[in-house]
Amino acid sequence: MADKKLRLKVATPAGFAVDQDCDMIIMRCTDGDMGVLPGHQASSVILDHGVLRLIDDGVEYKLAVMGGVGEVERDVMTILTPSALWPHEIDAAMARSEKEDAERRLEQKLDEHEERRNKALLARALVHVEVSTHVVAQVDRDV
Amino acid sequence: MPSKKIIKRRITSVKATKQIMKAMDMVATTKLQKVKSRVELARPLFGAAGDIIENLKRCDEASDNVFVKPREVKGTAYLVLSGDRGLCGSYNNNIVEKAMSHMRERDNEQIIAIGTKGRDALRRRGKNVLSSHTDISQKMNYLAFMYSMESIENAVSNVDKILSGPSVAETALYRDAELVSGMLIDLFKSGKVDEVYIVYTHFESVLSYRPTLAKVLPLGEKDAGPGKDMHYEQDVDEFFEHATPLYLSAFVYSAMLESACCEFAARMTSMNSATKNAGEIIDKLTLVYNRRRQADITQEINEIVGGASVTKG
Repeated sequence: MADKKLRLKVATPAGFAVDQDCDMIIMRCTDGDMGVLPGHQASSVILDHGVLRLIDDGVEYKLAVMGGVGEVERDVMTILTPSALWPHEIDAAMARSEKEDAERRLEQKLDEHEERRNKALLARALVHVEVSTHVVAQVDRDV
Repeated sequence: MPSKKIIKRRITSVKATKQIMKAMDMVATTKLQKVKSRVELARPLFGAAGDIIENLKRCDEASDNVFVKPREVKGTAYLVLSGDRGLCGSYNNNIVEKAMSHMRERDNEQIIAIGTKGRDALRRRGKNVLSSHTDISQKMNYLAFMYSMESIENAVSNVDKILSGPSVAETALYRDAELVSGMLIDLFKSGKVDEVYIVYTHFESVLSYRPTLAKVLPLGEKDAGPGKDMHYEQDVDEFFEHATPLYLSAFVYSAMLESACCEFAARMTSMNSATKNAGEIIDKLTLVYNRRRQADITQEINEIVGGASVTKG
């Protein structure tokens, strides 16, 4: 299937974060991970806060995607999301400190609303930390 | 005819005003360019969100969904986007008029206002303004400013990685759009309103922009046309729960940017003509000044001649 590629378009308020061909996409949906290869059946998915993995010519890239919806049709995958960041766009130190902050606040007994908010913040920070420490992607993208 | 001194003072004051207006014109022009480029960037998200909603509406299960099914209209929500400042011709007035003319046909209106001018005008007319957001234009200014800073920094260093991502202002602006659309969805779902409209100014070109009223909720009937054989991984209702807020946020976000574009364009045009008018006034006053000076000189000569003839005689 190497000759047939899948086009990935990730639209954010700041324009396309990604608009490129690739071999495979693995993304985090609300009901688990989902992989998409070229020639996939036309379908729609709801994305969760998570890492979007993009595999092209044997190299894996990672993207931090903050929810949204996706649609695959005729070898084009379109993802709409409020935020999609490449590793080099994430401040790794800030992501780590955000993660620690959220963990610290979760240890305290807070009301339900606060707890939900902190959990969401922690989920976001975890995704950012994972993506920002994905070194291979950064090196390959810069080449 | 006023004295030379008074005319001179008026010329100086008009000249100073002209300079200010010229500066405002130039500032508006720059900001317009920056925000316009952001409108282009937000277009794919808005377009694709609309497509997803259209596809969703074609599902068999969709017609009973709370976001799609039309209800009897008891209350109507409006999101009115105007500017925080004047000196931009009839921009703010047009948008208020557009909203008012629609409200005349509806009762029990709930308004969320963006921009102080629209909020104040609607309150003066006795309308029910639920909440208002007045720092949007400041963020818009910041966005325009940040954008120019980015291009300068990138040109100089070309290494700052954080700047290559979406700017802080952009994210903050989208957060506001999410907040506002969340409020609209809450109003709609709780049954306080049965229809949601967005009143904004549609940007066509620098010289052409028109106030627009768009119905966003309920999503309405599906378009005629062949349905796509789309497979939904999750439940269609759950899909609507996720896709509708995204669509609405994208709509509000691009409406904010378009309205800001129109405000800057309107300010640019009105300041441009104001600068021209000031130039004309200066020309006229200079003419009056010269005439006055000539009259003064003639009078002095007359007095000297008169005085000389008296001493001779």
